[in-house]
Amino acid sequence: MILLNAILLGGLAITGIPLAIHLMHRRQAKSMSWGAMQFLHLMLAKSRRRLLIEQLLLLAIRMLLLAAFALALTRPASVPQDEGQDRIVRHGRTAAVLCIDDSQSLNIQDRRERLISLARSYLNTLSSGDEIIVLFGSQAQDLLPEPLRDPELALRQIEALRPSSQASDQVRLLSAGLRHFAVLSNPNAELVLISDGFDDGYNSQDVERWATLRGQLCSDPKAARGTRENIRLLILHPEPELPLNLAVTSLEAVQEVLPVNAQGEVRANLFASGLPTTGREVLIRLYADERASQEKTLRLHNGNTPLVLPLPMMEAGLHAVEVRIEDAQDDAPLDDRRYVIVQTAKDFPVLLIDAPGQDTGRLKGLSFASYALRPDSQGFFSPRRLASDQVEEQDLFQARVVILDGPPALGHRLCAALERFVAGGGGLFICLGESSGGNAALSSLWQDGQGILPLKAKTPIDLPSPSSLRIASSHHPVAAPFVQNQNTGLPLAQVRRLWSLDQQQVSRSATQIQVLLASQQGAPALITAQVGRGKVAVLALPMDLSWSLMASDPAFVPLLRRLTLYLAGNLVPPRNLQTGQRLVLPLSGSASSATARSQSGKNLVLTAGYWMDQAALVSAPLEESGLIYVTHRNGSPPEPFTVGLPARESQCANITSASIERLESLGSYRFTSMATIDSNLGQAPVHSSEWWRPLIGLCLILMMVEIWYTGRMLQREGAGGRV
Amino acid sequence: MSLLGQVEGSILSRLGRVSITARQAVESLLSGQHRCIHRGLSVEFAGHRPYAPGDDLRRLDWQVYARTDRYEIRQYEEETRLQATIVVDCSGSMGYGGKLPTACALAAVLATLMLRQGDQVSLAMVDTGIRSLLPPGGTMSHLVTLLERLEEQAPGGETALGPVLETLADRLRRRGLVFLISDCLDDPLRLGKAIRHLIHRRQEVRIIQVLDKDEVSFPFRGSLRMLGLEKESPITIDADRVRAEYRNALAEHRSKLVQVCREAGAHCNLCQSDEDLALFLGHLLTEAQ
Repeated sequence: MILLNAILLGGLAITGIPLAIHLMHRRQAKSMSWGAMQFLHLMLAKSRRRLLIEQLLLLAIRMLLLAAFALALTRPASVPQDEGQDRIVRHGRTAAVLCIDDSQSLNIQDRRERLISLARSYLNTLSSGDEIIVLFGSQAQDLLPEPLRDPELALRQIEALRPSSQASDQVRLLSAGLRHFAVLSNPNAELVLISDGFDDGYNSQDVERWATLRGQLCSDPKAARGTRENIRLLILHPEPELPLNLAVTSLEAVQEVLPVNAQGEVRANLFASGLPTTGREVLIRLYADERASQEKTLRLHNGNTPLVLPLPMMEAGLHAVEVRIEDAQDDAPLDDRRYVIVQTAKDFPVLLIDAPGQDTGRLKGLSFASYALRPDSQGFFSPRRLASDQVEEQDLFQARVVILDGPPALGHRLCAALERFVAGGGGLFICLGESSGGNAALSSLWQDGQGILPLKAKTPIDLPSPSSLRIASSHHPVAAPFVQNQNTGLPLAQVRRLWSLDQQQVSRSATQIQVLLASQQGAPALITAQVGRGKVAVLALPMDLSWSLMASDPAFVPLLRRLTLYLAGNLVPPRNLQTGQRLVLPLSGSASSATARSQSGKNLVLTAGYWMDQAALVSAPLEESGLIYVTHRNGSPPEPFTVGLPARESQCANITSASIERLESLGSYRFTSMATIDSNLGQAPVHSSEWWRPLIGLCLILMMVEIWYTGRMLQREGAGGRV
Repeated sequence: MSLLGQVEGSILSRLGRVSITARQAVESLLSGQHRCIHRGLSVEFAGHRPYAPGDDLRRLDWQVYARTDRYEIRQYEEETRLQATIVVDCSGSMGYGGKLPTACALAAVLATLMLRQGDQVSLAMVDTGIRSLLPPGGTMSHLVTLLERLEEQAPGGETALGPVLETLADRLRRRGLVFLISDCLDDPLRLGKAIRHLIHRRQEVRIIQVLDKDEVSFPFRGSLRMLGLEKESPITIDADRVRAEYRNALAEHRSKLVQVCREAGAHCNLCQSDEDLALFLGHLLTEAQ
């Protein structure tokens, strides 16, 4: 026997109330003198036994009545019999939470219809009075809905299912489903996952999450299956079939921001499944602003195929670049194309910040950098040089790249502004030298590993002999031209002294740390890192000739220009988004209000908010993939944004044995057809195993007996001979 | 206020000129208002009987001889004084409620009435035995003494009416009237035996059973620990549960008592301590006549 409301077990204490009253009654007996004792003695001699039995019987009836009532409140139920692997026995009414995977992969083939059919088969095994909650994957974080008690209503909700643009995450969905049992009260507990049968979302390699889920499903392994302590898990999905799908699963620009008329390129990943072993020839076309620019014919085989396509020359402005698989004729047309936004600019403002009082003569400080970035025939860098005590916050946000020499001491506000600048997508180049700010300047950038300095700068070291600088990472975007030209780096750098950068102590906000240049001894001289949305480069020596002859190496200028271009290569605000992310539009004087519309014509709601402490218009989490155009009220041209699908939604791998193994480790039941659902669950429900009804019936009977008996006794007490 | 003062004010004045008479003929040497069984020289002709050698010739009725040639003697009835014995139970049980004061008041009234009508009264206070016995007397000073005895009695001891009445019966030499004022919480059969003994001793017996109103109705509620007044062992009862049974037991006892008295030739009346004694006695004495 189990107690469904065990928390009310303490109510059994009320059984002692009649006994307590009885004992109190006896203890409080008043003493009095009496003359006619003989009658009492005589009467008690005759009736003592009967009176005692009556008293005890009445006491027992009252205690039993209260005990039955208190026990009924705890909802005792019979322990369900052991069920075999193929047969599920339901005892009593069911509390079911249906977790529906409404991810994008539901668009493939007729998976949606088959999912609905499976759901219908399952709901046909329930009846009125069973509690049902329908939870869609895209709404898993919403507030707990009210349970439905009519399977027909639940079916209607499921039939209105439309695939969302969100990626699957079955573990998250099941965990969210478990939370909903808190509002359900029926004894037979079932958690049902209804999915499209693809493997995406199972994350079978994430052992820790599956172990956590197992603990949430089964808090007591000895408890019978189908109870709250050991919830029954059912997995319903269509039979695995390999769909035909050709998809562009990723598309990125090597450089999101390019100088006008500069040569750019995009990198795409093509995915194919369901193709014959000979593969298939496909035509890939690149569009820029809806005009076809490039095309390529490829033979695709099942799996991933990377592709690099050059970008055309484009005028200054924002451009939507599309890579499309033409005439794919597959089961999932939505992922046959993908977009990326690229910006071409005439002007790349660069802010160079010297230490205050720094000599800005030709061979000092950032003079070499200033010279290297001067406008030339291509004319896209606009360097501006300021001392650190003259820099304002808006100076930072008007630049694309900030170069610090020293670095100089910056005030707290400026440091914070610099962090926001980098996190929002700006580029930062830090040249370490004889810091005028001392350790304080470095500490403000490092901040015990929380700052924007990617690696901790320990101390300047003198090299045993002057060293050249070599390219340490040939795959780095900045290093690519040097490698192509078989240039080994800066052989004439003659570095005598440089800061020691501790590669073991990495800032928590820094990722993708790469060593671009290193000394002959292997000490990192130039590193780059991703910090937030921006990029940071750290040169372990000053750019002037105080510690090296690096600035005099012919490769220095092109390296610096390329590095600066690389640091400036992020779009601000971010325009290449994923489903689930929000569109942000920082507000400025000229752009104070705007409207956004998706490619399908749907208007997006933009509300006032903040982005990087800046007033901005912010959208709700994006659900639909494709292009979004934002139109400002000031008449400026519409600005494009793109929303991409998660890559794995296109990969259409059917549920793997590893995922099945994970599910089996949870003791789940897996059904892939309506027939198996019906045969295992469609039997008539076992008569309710709950005992509260018989107990309430017993209470009523005992109550009637007590009333009748007490009435009879009162009648007898009221009677008695007349003297 | 003295006992006499109390009863005079509330009872005697209301009773008026009621008298106490004995149903059976009472033997007495003195003239009183009661019939006498002796048929001798008296003012009332009672009948003839045949002459027997030795009879007084002055009582020979010569007119009957002239008519019938038979020798007949005349017989006469004579009214004599009543001698009553009032027995008051002073056992412990009489201490409950107003029983003993009621009994004493009844005894005082009866004694006063009898002395006023020229009768003689004796008083016996009893419990397990005869506590005190006041010999018969008919004077006012005797009444005062009787009343004083009544006033100074306190309840105590146990009830043993049967043996006490039998002892008393052996002491009564002349016919008379015996009033027993008690709660009669004793074995009816033993009491009946004692009554028959008294009647055999030529006494007319009248029993007044005095009970407290609570003893009759048992109005108590809840759990009670009852302590006996005659050293009985205490018991704890649930008053609500035992009420009906108690009343039945009391009614049965009362019924048995009445039956026993009737069979023995005595009268038994119940007087509750809250009852109007004037009414009660008025009813009792007129019924007796």
